[in-house]
Amino acid sequence: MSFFPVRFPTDQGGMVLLFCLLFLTALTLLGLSASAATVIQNQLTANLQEKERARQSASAALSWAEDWLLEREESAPETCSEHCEGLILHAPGTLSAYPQFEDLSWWMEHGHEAGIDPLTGTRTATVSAGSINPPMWAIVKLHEVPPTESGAGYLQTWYRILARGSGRTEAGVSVIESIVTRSWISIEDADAGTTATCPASEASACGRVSWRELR
Amino acid sequence: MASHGNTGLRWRYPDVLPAIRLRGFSLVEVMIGMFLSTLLISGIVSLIGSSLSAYRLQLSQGQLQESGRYARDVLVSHITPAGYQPRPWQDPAGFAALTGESVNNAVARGDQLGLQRWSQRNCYGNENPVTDGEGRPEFYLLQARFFVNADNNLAINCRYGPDATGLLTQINSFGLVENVESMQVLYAEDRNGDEIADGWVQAQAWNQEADIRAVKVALLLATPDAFGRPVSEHFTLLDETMITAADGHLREVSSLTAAIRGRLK
Repeated sequence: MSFFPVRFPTDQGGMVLLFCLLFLTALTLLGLSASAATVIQNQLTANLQEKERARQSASAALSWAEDWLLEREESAPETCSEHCEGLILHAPGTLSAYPQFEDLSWWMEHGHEAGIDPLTGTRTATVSAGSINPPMWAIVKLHEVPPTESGAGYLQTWYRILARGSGRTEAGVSVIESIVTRSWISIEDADAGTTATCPASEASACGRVSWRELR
Repeated sequence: MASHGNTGLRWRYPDVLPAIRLRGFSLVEVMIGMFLSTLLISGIVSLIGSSLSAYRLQLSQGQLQESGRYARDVLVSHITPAGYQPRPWQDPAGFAALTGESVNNAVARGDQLGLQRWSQRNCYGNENPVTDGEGRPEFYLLQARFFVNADNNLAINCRYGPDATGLLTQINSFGLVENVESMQVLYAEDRNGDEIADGWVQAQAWNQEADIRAVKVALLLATPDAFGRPVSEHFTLLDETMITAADGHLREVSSLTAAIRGRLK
């Protein structure tokens, strides 16, 4: 029971609605700005994740390619840049100056997919299954010292291996490079059925000698 | 409905209906109200104050972590490609990844890390305008030195040039990360040539520079503002233990281990 003689004017009832609307608008703007910041943070994190995934993919491809090269037991492969049956081995200076900015089709044309033996075409491993594009690698023969010069009876060769990895989207691409050296037995020895793993002799070197990230 | 009827009656017969108390609050009521309001407001103020303190603390911790992350990124980007040599057959003795500027306790605030590589990009990340016969940017020598300067910044000195005798300083003691109180560095050494690191050594304490496979760096970072109780703390940075000043600043050790990737067989 109320005995107060107060009568609220009915024409001010709209003010409550107005204040409520203003308050709700302010709250909505606050919420939107907070969610916008969260969305940006999420995008930043996703970008970092993509970059790291691409880097891991490229790294895995590079390791696979290096292992494949170092495990060859036959004689040194010859350079071949076009219409190659098997390994595409580029001569120095024949590859693009900026392979890190080439698209996937260029890599398909000039390189190999990691995990597939370029000589037999059989898949021996699945490298970086989570990537949107297959991890690729390309190889350049940089320099060689023939057995006559080395005086050690083996051929010492330096290769530049490039590897490309991608994330789960096209946005994340990483390209890394290593320079690998290895020794090879002579063609005559190979023809005679001799095989040799790397290193061909104790004096020769085998393995990675330089590494850098291009993209 | 009843109240409406009574109200109407009261206006019509003010002397008949019982008197209604229309006066304000008494002094006691006001005092109690003010006391309760004061309690409430002081509680809210203290709550806001502690929330603000917690916010500032979290912000500073976030900045500490962000500073540590950035420092790690910069250092890793120089350590991993260190020793890159585009024509290794021209350098049978091997190209050093660590320079003579890698020195233990070189400055008051810890160790100094010196790295080098051949690069087509200069200290600013721009391509070398000098090109080779095929139009590619020429490889020049890039030497970087990291240390904590007198202003407590993790700083970089960077030189770039066609060879060791023609280096030009492009970045001189440029602060990368603020409020770094110390930097300690250790090096993973492969002592028996099996391509596996056998232990950590200080700068220049290695048998051969070529045996170093990785670098470990620890940074002691502090917040610019003081928080909490001013008590000194002990921090272990790799092989050094530090006692900090009792100044109430938050501190954190940020560490990284990065392989010299060209030496991973």
